[in-house]
Amino acid sequence: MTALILALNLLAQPVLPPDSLSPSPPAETFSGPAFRIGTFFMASIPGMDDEKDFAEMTNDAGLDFSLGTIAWGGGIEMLVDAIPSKLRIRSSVGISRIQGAYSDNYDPLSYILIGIATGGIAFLFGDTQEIIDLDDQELFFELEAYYIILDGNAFSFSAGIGPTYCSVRRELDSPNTSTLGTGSSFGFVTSLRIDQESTFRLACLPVNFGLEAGYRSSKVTLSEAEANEFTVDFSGPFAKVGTYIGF
Amino acid sequence: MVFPLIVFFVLSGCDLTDYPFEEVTSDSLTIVWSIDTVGTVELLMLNCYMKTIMAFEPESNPCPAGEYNSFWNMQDSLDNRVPDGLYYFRLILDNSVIDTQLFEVYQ
Repeated sequence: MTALILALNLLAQPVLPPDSLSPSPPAETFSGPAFRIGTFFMASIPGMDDEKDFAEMTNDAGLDFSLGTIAWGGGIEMLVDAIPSKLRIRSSVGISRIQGAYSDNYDPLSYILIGIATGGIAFLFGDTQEIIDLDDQELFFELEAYYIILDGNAFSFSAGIGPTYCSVRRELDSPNTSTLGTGSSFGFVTSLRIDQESTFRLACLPVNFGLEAGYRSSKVTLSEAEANEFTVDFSGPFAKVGTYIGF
Repeated sequence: MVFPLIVFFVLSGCDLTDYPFEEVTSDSLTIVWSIDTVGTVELLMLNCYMKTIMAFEPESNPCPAGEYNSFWNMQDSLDNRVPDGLYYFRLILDNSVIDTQLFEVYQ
């Protein structure tokens, strides 16, 4: 995604209004598109209190279990400017993920020798040495309404709030076992957005960028009986960047 | 080309790792634990969701210092065979966790 953004920055060219070269003040022709659809890349710092307790318990057992602190995600979203010109609606579907693992202290010499003996195959498909692998995934749907606070020619600034629905799965793998927990819940998201209103063209497509930061509540209690109301909590501050095609 | 593949699959199938937990495939497990001081002991078996599925009874409580064994028949407190997974034995002495043992249970 980062590479895509960099490529877009390098390749995209601004669409100038017809009179942009004239000495007169810029005409207010930089009206942003009323409909945008695109992809986003997101990073968040989830609470994960139960997972932290689990990691602590595993560490108490003598393992150096490492739980990630940042959940990475991405997805597809669209933005629609509503009839009141100060209102913007966003709907998104995306995935967020955080992982934890206990990795064995592998012997580098053995790894290299196996790699050489296998003609490099072991380097490509070799064991990742993860003994205990925790994978928390969230599929979320968001609907957020924004009030456009500032609406400039180049950028707009807006604040919004809306509901979310999220479905999570927690997968814990060990060498011989795999445990899966699932659940779903409603939450909310509130955030500030900066949207590019001036359009760039990339291969004849009108492209806009957007930045967003805020807080999302996404705390899911797993539904399995043995889960003992274990929660997978993706709630926390987040930031994301999106690339859109505007119409 | 065939030889490296054979070497790869043979070596990747080798158990070169000493897992820092005990693999349990039988229907019973003897857990060894010890305390250095006399105190009130709780012996709990938790699943990977930190739910207590079994509480073991020490021989006496308060429990004198020493080494003890606890027997687990792979069942929870409702006498159901526990599913495959990771299980944590916790030794709590006077409300403080002093030992945690991890077991990988599978059939």
